[in-house]
Amino acid sequence: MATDRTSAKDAEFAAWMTARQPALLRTAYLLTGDHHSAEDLVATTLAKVYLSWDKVQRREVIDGYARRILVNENNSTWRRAWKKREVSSDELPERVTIHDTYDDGRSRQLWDFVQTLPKKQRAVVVLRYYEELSEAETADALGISIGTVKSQASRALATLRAAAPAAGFDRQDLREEER
Amino acid sequence: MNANDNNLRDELGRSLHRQADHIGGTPISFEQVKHTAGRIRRRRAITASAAVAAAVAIIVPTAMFTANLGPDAAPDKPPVATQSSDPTPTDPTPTDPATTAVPLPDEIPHVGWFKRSTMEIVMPDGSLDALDRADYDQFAVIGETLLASRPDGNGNGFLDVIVDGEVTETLETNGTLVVSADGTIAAWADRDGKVFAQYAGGSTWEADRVGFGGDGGYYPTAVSGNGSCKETDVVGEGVGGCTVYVGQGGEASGLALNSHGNGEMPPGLASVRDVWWSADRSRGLLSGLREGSPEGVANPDPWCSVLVDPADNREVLEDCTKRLETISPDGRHVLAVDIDSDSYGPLTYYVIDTTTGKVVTTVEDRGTLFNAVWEDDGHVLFLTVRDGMWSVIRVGLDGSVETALPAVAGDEFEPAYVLPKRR
Repeated sequence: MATDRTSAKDAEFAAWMTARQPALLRTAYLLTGDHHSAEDLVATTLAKVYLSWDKVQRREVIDGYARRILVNENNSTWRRAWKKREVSSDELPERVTIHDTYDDGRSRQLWDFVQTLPKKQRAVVVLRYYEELSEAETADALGISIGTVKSQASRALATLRAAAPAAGFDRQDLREEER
Repeated sequence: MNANDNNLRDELGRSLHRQADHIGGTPISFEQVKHTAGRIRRRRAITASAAVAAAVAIIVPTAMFTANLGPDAAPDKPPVATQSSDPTPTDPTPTDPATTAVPLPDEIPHVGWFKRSTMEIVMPDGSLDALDRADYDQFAVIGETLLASRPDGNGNGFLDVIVDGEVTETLETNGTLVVSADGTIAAWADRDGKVFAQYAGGSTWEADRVGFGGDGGYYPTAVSGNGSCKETDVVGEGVGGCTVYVGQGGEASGLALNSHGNGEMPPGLASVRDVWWSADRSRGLLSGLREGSPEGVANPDPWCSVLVDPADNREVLEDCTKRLETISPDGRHVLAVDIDSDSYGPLTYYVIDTTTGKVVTTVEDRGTLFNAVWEDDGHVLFLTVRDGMWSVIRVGLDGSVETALPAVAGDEFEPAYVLPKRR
């Protein structure tokens, strides 16, 4: 009986994992900035979801739960690295060439800007503007208040606004999120 | 919202999609996930065991067995806790496994403590850490966050929010700190008396705080919740939300501040001391004070302690000679002190059966008793001081007494050990 339950659980988890992994990997890539770190982050996230699979009685909350683990695990990894006083590498960050005839270079500049954001602001930007979560959903995923989501988004845009002349953005485009 | 307002948001979104939508590669296999899960599980067990070995190393060199504890005291050993005997299933809330305890063998201590002289703290999960200060007098572990409170010397306090051994934030408080019976929610008030609550809920170093409104002057006396103060959270088959019970400076009657809106104090209760719920939330108990005394009984104090069933606000127990305090993890017993105990600390503690109201164990002649903490369903840890010697004793429901942490000399107003607010 126990073996049957384990098999059913594993099959259910495997099906969920197959369906959800690509989206998790994309979000992880945006949070970490490199493919290898993203894969490592997703692997840890999937493992932690698997360890908690029996505790989840409502499957519709699994996706949000996995997302929460993903962003928080990313923050934890950063904190451990900071404590070890890791020296930043001279290697340039991984760049993937995107051939997009409709991109006049602004897209690359925006991505470069996103990669300079502090971890939490970056997570807010990714969840709000890539995953298109609401402020409430973003707050839930990050375990912070809606007010903090708003302030982090506002700070990110303020930073971009301050860098506007060098980045070539029209300052008129940057009045946003002051609400 | 005009086009300019949306422009940057849309551009950011398109940029991120351009970067991420092409991301792919060889999928992680299920076997890889199981392998990683096994590694995580083993790492947690190793961490716990190493922390236990280190904790024992702290205790052994300072082991002192004094005659003050009496001839019936057992040899020193670290606090031991067993899992609750509540037969109901564990909380089905999907929590981050990083905050979920891995089952440990019974002999490994599960209750944490802080030793001031060495500034070392043993966490409830058995891990060991060193803090930067010795003046913490209260602490609680909420998820992965350690909340440690210290006095400011002027009647107020500071609450350090500590994650991975680092103080991430310091809050000015009025010195209050309360924790829910299940250890998932903490509450305190700032120096204006505004109340805050923090819960684990899968978050890391910055768990959410729910600020409650109010006119100030509040001091929390108890907090109850379902693992989250966010009413939008899905918790098991229900929703989140918490209630912080507060006293009001100078006022006789307390309030219930509810994250859903205005809460209500149980009818007749002036204050709430503790709230307990079974794991499946089917049974609950609430200990508190109400005015009055039983007919025909001389009562030097205008208050009576009561246990109330929160489902229907029915009084299940009344005692006008004792003050009821914290309820045991299984809800079957409650700690109590004499109603006229002074503020320094009681000399006598009672363990009362919540069904019959009878005293099952009396703890006395052990010095002044502080920081009583339920270690498990059948044991209570007491921080005691006698003749300048501080120790932690473990008292069983059968009246057995043994040393949990050895006696050390210290200032009679500054305990040498600090026990957590909750196990």
